[in-house]
Amino acid sequence: MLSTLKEPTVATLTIQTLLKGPVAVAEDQLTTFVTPLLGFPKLKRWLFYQTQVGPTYWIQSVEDPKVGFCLLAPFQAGLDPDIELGAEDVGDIGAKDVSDIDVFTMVVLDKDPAQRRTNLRAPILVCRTTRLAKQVVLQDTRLPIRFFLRDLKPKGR
Amino acid sequence: MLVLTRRINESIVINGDIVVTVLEVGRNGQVRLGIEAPRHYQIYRRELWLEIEAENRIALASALTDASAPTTAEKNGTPTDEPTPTGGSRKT
Repeated sequence: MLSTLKEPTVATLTIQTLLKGPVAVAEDQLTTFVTPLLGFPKLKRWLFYQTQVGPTYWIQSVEDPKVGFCLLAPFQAGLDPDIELGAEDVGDIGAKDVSDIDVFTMVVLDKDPAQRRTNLRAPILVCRTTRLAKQVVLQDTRLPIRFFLRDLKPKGR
Repeated sequence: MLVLTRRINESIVINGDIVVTVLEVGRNGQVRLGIEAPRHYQIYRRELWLEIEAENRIALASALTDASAPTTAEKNGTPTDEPTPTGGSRKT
């Protein structure tokens, strides 16, 4: 899994985050999207962070402080979506193989808890070693664009 | 919009490296296209692209709302309201 915020050791910059306010991070802790998130073509550099241990992550745009998302690490959360990655997806983010990739899915934090959901069809892939990322749209139509989190079973059940 | 007329097995070339060929035209108006393009081009049906783009934007709007609310669901460990393992009440 991606490391959470560390003490900076190289050049730092201050990033305004949605949940933690201004955060000082080292440049090498940022993640660069090789192809932008769908709908956000100008935003390339992002900070991944957590507010607590668990499967929930947040990403914050470096270029636009008003853009941040809640993400779920689906495998960590107990989901087991059948995600098949193409060689070009793995190669695009500089990963040697799939074991070097973390998978996240975009979360909609609807006010109605029953409507909270995550998009399993278009996961975000992040290479741990290069910190390059991309959102892919998978061809498998069985993967729902709206997987409702109310259907998420606690682990071990 | 550029409009070109093509018959079955005829193609168009985009930017020198994308070739779109008309493979079949059905009586129901359905058209089958073959697309040859370098791997780094992402090619999707437009309605799927728009749906995912819209879902991303909804995710952003919901994150902004949630971040400004004092009782974020994210505090529960997963972004959902799960029942407690015991399902019971806690005495104080």
